[in-house]
Amino acid sequence: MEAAKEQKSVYLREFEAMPATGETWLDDLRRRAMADFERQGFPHRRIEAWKNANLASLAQQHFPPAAPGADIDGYLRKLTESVPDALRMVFVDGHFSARHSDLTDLPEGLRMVSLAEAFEAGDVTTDAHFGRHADTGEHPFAALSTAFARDGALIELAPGTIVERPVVLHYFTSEGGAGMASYPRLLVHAGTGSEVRLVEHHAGVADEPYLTCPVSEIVVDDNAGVRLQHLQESGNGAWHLGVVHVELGRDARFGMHAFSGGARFGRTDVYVNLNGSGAQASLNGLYMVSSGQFADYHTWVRHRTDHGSSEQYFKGVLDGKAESVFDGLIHVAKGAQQTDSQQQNRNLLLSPRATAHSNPRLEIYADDVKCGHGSTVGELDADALFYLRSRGLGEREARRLLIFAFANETLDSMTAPELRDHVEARLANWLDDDRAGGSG
Amino acid sequence: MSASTKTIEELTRKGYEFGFVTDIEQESLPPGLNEDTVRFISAKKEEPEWLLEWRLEAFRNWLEMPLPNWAHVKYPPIDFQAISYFAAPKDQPKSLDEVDPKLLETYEKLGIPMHEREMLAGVQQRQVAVDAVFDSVSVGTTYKDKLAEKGIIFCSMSEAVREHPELVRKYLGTVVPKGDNFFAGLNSAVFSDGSFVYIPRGVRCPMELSTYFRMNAGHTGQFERTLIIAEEGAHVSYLEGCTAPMRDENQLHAAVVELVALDDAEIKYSTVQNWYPGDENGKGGIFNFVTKRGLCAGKRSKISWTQVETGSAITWKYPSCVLKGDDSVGEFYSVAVSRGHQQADTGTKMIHMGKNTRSTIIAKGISAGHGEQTYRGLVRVLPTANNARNYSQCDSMLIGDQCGAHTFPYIDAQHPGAQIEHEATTSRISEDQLFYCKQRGIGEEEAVSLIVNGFCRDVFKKLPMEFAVEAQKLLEVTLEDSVG
Repeated sequence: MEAAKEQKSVYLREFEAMPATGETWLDDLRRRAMADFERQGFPHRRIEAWKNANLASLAQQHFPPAAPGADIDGYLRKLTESVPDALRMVFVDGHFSARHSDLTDLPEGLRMVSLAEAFEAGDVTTDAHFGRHADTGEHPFAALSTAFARDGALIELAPGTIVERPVVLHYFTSEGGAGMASYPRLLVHAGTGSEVRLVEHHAGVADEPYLTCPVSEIVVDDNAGVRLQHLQESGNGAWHLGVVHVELGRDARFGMHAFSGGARFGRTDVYVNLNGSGAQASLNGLYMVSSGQFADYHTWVRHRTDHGSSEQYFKGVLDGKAESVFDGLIHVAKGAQQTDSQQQNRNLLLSPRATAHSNPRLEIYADDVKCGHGSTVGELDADALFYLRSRGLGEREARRLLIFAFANETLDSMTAPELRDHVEARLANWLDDDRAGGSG
Repeated sequence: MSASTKTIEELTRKGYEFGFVTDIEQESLPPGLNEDTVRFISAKKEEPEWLLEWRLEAFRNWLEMPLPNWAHVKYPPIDFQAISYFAAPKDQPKSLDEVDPKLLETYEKLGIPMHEREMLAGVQQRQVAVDAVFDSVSVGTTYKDKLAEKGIIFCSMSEAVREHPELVRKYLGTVVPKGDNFFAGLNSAVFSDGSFVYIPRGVRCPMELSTYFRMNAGHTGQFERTLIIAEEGAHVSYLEGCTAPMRDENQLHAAVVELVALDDAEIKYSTVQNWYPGDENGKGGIFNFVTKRGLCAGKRSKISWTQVETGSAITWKYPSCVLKGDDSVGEFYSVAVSRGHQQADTGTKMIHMGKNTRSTIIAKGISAGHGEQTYRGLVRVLPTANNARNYSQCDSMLIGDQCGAHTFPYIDAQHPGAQIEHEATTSRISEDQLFYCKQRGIGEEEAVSLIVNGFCRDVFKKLPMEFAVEAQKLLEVTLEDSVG
């Protein structure tokens, strides 16, 4: 506790040492966010939303803000190959790298700039939306991010703009970012009737501790659609504490597929507010967790008005001494009639030392709604295994096939099918690390 | 607004028929809580020194504990110094024949048989042994002698402390430790009376055992403590009922129930909770903050909780099973109704420790008027619980658009051999269902009752027969006028 207190003041001291931007609204916003973080501190297990998370060792360490990073060309090549024809922005250690980015042939109605640039220019969209949605009062790392964020991506779609090419955002922590913290941001404003497909990709240097608190704010106006492919492949020493916050207007659509296989501690909170009548949200995901890893998805789906629909489907595969959390909220406000909301969570435990927490939460204040959820935790089906073995497959191969099938199902809903090969390859690699061996 | 919504609303506004007060001379402690209160209660009950020490330790520990705030309920802060911790009828009866006729009348009025009726020729009336608790004391227990023939002990907790201290000392606080939670801590310090049941090895209890709790005095809290022990191979079915007068104040009921089942033993614990729920504006009513937990200590033991919760302004209870013995079984069947301004946060915990342990959870929540209904559950499978199985189902029904239904079923699995399944749905009585019934000549109210009873059927069929009928009637009364 003492250490955490001390730590708070380290972040505060750093905050105070940073130069003001000169933009009054931005400086005020940051100061408020910093105060929010100071008030909350590092969350501990007695806070309901953090009760399964052990952040004691994060609170003991200190990660100063990272400077613009080192060379990452080697890493990047592989990734760009998987989505070759894309509009691309690359951030290294939280800072925009124009050299790695590709913003040629921007279609009409689409604006993509770095937030640092937008702040500099006194941009109105940032003023209206930046830091206005992610709840710094509730989420300590959203607060930390808003206080420290200096850069990120601003993507703006004029009404009616339909962008065919995927928009890819790489957030990379380089060797120079080891032991440091980055606070990359994404702000998307999709105007009425516009459509876009996004890939938000987080990766980083292996075997080094670092902290990253990415916060994405996505505002989808009436009848617009945004699809987001979220990939959390942070380095295996990373603390990844992110937020995706979505506001949906009337008949607006948001589809997300999340995949996580990285970070020693990875948590993403997905907030979706269905503010307009007839809004739709779909959240899907897969987490693969091995020994020493902790993966956590918290979803907060809030139906604020009538005729909204939402679905959530998350699957987890756990091996070794791994731990995972799925904590999903469906909140149906008073008067949000004709809401249709479903949630599923399935966990596959491959090892006796793995722990899966599944915490579905339904809060319903309207009577004419259809809401349901289900969750399961279990091991591989012995009958299915027997069946495959009776067909001549070895135990190892049979287990591998069943695990692959279990995980692969969620990949059908990937919002960036171009990346399916990439994710499948990761899955196959993961399985090759003798997880199919039936260690017991 | 359709006709059906109107009936539904009317149905939920029905009065409370057990709200009368028995005018009887009572002695009670003045409000306030300190070590002297604890000493007074202990002295009043002529308790041995160790129990007083136990209470005091619990009290000192409780002073340090924070009030829990995680439950999905809202209530004004409770002033623990404004409650009287002991109230009892002045004349303490020595035997059933000496019980004040007014008290007997009270129980007669509540429909609780306090006479050991002989079986009438030709009429097979089932016998139920009753322990009647009136405020802080037990006023009588029926069929004690008949049960004693089989070696069964069924008496009030105070009597058990006097007559069977070794059993009480061995088991008290072993399932719900005195520092378990805020209200269990308070109960451990000031518990008054409750039932004590001991079923010896291999005995199948020949009749249902039942305790009836009645709160009568104003400004009091009821803090009963119940302990049921089933030795190897024993079997018992226990029922519990409760009512209280209508008052404008909120009264606190903080009970602790502990069950211990040894090898091959089975305990079936059924509750029909009908404390005063407060008036239509949410004024008054009982705060029912209860800790109930059963320990399946032995192999192949079984504990089954069945509850019908229709009363109380606020209910906060999670009858739980700790499945420690290999092959032990835990069950939880619940129907909870919240109407008017009632709030219920209820559910269960199933802690799987032993191998091949199984648990089943069926929870049905009905919310009407301004009621708030929460199912909160935890299924935990520890690394030792190989081959554990759990099936949970919790369904909510909403009647009216001002109520809320919430579900928080947590799962923590630490063993790959575990199979845990959970399903939940939220729905309302659909226009189609009502239309179908009406078209077949069934009146609106009757149709709603039919649908609601069908919704609760899985749970009602687990209740002992008399209780099932009572529960069904209670539900009808509770929802009467709420459908329209």
